[in-house]
Amino acid sequence: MRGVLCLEDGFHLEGELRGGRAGVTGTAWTVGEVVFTTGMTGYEDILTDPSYSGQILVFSFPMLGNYGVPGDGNARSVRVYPKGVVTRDLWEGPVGEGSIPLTEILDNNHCPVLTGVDTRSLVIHLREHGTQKGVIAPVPDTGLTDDFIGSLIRDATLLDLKDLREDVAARELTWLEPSKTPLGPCALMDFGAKPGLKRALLDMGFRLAVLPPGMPREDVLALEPAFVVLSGGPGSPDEHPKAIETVRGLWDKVPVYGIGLGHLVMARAAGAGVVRLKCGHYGANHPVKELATGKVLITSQNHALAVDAGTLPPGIEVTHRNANDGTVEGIRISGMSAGRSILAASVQFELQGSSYETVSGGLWSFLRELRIQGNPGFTLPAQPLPGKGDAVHA
Amino acid sequence: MPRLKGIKRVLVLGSGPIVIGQAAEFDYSGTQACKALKEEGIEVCLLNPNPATIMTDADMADRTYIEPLTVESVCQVFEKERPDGLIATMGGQAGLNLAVKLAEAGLLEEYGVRVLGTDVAAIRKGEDRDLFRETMREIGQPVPPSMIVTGMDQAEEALRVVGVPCVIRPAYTLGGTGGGFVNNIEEFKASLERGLLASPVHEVLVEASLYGQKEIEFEVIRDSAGNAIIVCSMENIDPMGIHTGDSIVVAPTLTLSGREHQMLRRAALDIVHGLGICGACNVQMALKPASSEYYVIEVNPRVSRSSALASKATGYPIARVATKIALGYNLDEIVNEVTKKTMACNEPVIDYVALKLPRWPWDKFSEGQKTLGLQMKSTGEVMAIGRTFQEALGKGISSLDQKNELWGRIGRLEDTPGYREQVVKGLKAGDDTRLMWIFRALAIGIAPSEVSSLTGIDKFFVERIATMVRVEKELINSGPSDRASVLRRAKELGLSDRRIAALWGVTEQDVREAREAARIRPVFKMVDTCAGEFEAETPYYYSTYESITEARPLDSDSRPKVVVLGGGPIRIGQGIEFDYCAVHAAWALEREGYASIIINNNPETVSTDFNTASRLYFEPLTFEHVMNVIDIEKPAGVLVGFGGQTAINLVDSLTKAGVRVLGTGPDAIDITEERGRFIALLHDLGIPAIQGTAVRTKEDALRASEIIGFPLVVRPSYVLGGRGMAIVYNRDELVQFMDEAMGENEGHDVLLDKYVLAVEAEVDVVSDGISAFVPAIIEHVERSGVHSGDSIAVIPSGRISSKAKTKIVEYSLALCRALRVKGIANIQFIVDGDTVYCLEVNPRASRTVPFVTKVTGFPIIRVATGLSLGRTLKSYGITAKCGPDPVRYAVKMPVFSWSKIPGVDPIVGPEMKSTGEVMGFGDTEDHAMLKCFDTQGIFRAGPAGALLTVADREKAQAVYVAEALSRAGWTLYATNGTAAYLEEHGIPAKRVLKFSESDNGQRGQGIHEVITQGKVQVVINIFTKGERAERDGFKIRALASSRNIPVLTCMDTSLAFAKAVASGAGAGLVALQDVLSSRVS
Repeated sequence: MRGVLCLEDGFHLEGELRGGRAGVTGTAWTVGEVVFTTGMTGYEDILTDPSYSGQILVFSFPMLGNYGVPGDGNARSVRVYPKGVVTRDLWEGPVGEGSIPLTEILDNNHCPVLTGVDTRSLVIHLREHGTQKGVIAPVPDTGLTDDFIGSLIRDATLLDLKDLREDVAARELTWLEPSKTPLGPCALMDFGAKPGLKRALLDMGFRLAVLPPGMPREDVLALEPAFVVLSGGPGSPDEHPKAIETVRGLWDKVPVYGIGLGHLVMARAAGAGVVRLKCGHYGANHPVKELATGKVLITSQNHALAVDAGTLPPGIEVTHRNANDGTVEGIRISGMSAGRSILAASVQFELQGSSYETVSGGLWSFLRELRIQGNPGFTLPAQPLPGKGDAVHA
Repeated sequence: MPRLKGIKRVLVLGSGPIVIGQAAEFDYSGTQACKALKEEGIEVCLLNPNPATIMTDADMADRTYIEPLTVESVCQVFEKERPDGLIATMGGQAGLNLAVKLAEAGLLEEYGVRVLGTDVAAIRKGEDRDLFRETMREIGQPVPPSMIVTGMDQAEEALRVVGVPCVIRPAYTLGGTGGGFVNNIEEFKASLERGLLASPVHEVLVEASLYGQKEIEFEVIRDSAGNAIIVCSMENIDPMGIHTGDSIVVAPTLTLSGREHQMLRRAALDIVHGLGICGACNVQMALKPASSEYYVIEVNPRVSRSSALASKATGYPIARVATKIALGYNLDEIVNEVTKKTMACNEPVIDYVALKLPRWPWDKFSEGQKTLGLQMKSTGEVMAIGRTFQEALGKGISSLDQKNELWGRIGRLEDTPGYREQVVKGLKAGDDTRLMWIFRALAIGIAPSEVSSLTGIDKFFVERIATMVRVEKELINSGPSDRASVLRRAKELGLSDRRIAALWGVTEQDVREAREAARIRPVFKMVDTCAGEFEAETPYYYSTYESITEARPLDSDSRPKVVVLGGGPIRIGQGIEFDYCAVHAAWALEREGYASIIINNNPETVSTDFNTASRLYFEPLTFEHVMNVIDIEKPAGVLVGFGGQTAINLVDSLTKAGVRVLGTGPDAIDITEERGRFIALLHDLGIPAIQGTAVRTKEDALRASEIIGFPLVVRPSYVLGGRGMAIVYNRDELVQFMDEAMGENEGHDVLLDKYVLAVEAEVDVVSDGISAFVPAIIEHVERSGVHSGDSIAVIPSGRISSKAKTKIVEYSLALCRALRVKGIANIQFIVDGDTVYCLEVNPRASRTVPFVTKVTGFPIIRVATGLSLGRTLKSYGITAKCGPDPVRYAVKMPVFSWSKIPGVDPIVGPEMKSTGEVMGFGDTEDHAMLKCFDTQGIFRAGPAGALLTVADREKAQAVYVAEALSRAGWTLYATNGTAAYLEEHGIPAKRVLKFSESDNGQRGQGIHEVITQGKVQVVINIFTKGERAERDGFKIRALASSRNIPVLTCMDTSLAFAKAVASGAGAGLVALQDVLSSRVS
């Protein structure tokens, strides 16, 4: 079936439509914020990342589904978060043993796919005209008339971004147990964490308390976590006022580390502002400079918001900047409390590749520094080995 | 970190002559390095004996030394130029090895020269087998188990360490003779014994077999602060076991899951950190499918063929960035020149598939062993870009520029008896034709999974090829109702118009018209290093079938546009020289106020660098793709004279399509290619021609031979680099040649010419159609019978009389005027005393252009381009007919790649076989000659020895050779007959036994011993005509070649060698800048 992706500004491209509400015609199949990713491999990790909730995801690399979704059979039940997928070429043929065709996974998730699309032109349009909402719809028998496009534009503009997203944050406190003898508890405030992040934290040997973002500070502290990680997730920090409230000053009691959306929540909790970027960061290749060492990190990013450097209160230091546009990518809160001089740190990115890299690199260095600072009674956990994978199964 | 202090003058090492495995990619990287250094205000000294390169142009470096890549040369340069730094990682393995030698000899310290970029310690860690394995173990990276075995007593230990299956590799055998894969213990012992015997040093490497695993490469770049990025990941379609240079390669990897990719990516980064790389590095790994097991195979701590491919595949200029890193900059301090908005630390991402196909020399070496394996055999490669794997593959096949499109015949072959077996055999053979067999297998319904298991090629790729085969079938079965939609899909899958025309049984033009009617036109997309995320400034495009085109014609640019056609893949007969010419043509266009547009598909070259022309189209050089570019750019004209024969072959179809071909007209080109018309022209001009005729049948050939008389030079018409050319001495040989030639050359003429044994000469002449200018006459050392490309060339000419020289110039001028040559032509002559015969006119730039340019300083291509655009010679201030004799002598010598292509007899003859060339300057011809021989490694350390085995008819001349060598202190070894003859003439020679003699039980020193024990540096083997491979001569030549010992098979070459040795070394090195005196502004 022929389909069309239409943006708010009327820019539209045709392709072959499959999946989703197959058989239904005449109305939009899906509405979402249209964003792109430039990652060339690992679509299985991107599609299962909750931070893509509410978005129509455009893959700039043209061949999608090449190797299916690898796994030991669990892959069949994985959850796909984007509301639609746009690609140049979708492989629908056989895949290797032990893998499941990507088409099957997308169909199971009722995720519509528009394939055969000139995705490069779409990426360039989004680059030039900014991120916007869009709809995917079947092309009616009457063709793409001005009226039809007009109705699609209305569909696209109707809903708020916030309403497009599912609630992917944790709803209640859950405990996850590591395979080895636990070191004690640590906590993850889950705004929509990638499955790999939880696994990487468990690999360090902690019992992991997964917290709903709104959990009051006293309740968090009552769990006596060694540290609290604020996860990534979709949307903006201001959609989580309670979480900001909880995090404010939490670092005086317990070390806090933020990633992605968690970084923005921490910045807001510290009193800093957040601005919308002219050009969002979408892809797996963004260079970020670690200011203290001059090192350049290659990072994965999916966001259009950044901490407003001008609004950072004293005591908060910028630790990372984007090497291309200079925007803030990481902050650190210092001071003296509970015998620690470093209280909290956060970064807006994942180290390229996986949550394992992020946990093994950024978070682990943070913890090591805490230990070096002479934090009494703090056991440095095992460093989870990257490369083990962040794949959907593992 | 900012730039290193105290670095003002830097020596860059080139890679020397083009040989298989070390080709044009190092001109590309070296040129980028020179530019990057000059930008920083650094004085650049350059050492490279290869004249056919852009990097050795006088204005690329401040001090250019076209001299042997030896420790002695480098010391002389150190002495004269006193550089502060050395860059050794741009010159391939040759440059790297030389740097290690310099370091080991303590010369770097002595002269206070600092190695910039990756240091010698890191180079050693990457290159030395044991050090590498140790380093990998230290950083926890797995290497395949292996062991060096020198006797059967170590068999058990090897089994324990390595186990089976494994590979047995005897040391120092040609193409791995005597080795192979071993699957069980019985086979292991037998094979090990065989291998030890086969190895002249009784040494065998036993290595775990990784056959069939995925071969993955990462191009990594790291700075001295420890920042590292992956520039590009690449996947070899051919599994482990086939050299990556001979594999079809895609970028990025297509079959690795996110997890596998991250695992190998992390490993690659850990490895470059572990080695301490400071610049570019290539990491090769083997991945066991459907597992998390991998091995590190090898690293190249330098720029390489793979890094050139990665540069072109992503747009990221690796050599440039590596040079800046060598100067001390960090990745985040270097601007990405493609986007100008991002920094060099931005890891490139691409939104297309780039695919490389190798080009093999089997059209020249039909007798070579074609099986692909651990030894690289291809001479060049093409790259194609498409939005899918299929599209890239289809365009890649078109780019190969091979007459028989690889995909083979079409039709209902299933019914042919035995065809299926033939296909299966083809799939299993694993040679250069395997891609064709895959297409054929799928076409007759062999399942992709079966094709995959027979070839070891991942099912992913076979399945994708199956989609191409399916659409081919749909094309055949399509009717008027679905024709357009199938056609569109076929174009999206990369099928060429030519292929579709064959399927439909119509002409290519019909397909083009059908496409036009259905509005199926390609769009052009940009290569920008960032998948469209940032705006890019560098215009580098490829075609695809999609919605929106990005390549807006260069309208903002008010200059008229001219397209330059490049030369495509490097092959024997069409080498790097043509890239040199295309690049200079583009530069000349810019100088003349035109916007230059290059179309080419060779990823190794300077012409496909991102900033050589105003615009680059990375496309096949076929009518279809060239026309697509012309349709969108609407240029003022096309220059076809600078890309070799590939470009010339397009003249006819482009002219018919109404394209303005600049320079020499199509009719003149036709005259030069149609024998009859050409002879008529010579006759009209009163220029002697070699007696000859054109025939199409065996009978006609025999009749003609009676008139002309033997010996005859025979060759098919429309040849490239003398393909299929031979000298026949009698009727039997003529009949045999005709039988072979008719098969491949049906419908075309076969040319028969009287063979005149005399001096050959050639000129590269520039002309405005009325007057012409000959910069220099090139004299060949080898007399007629040896292809001009395989002859040693000398300027100024010493053997040709001044009367003959005058004739050469006059004839050249007359021919240019008669043919209205506007631009350049190459004219070949045979000079017999004062008689000058004209052999042929090539209405294009030739392989001698860079050599002549360097000797005379006359910018041939710059002027030729201007003349093609309509300028006159007078406008350049040129009124003379020919250039003055240069003050210094210069010699250009062919270089062969014999050791890479087992099965090929290393002899020179009418077929061109050399892959590259070197050049030397000298006060005398002999001194210049000596330098060229020096570059070939003849003057190795140790006692000088030569082996002579000479046929009776040449023995008299051999006396002179032997005497000269003997007097120079060389020890002579000779076979019985030759030795006896020499002794008769009072020259002592040590007798050695031929293979057949030692096989018969005669006792004494054998040839094998003399050659393998390093007693001789050169073999002079003047053989008997008609000698076949099984004879001693072939064995001697093959053995010497396998040890990289030069073999001289022509008496003229041997005499030149002897003279050069007798003359002794001349004065030291001279920089090219000092040599050049005559220059045109």
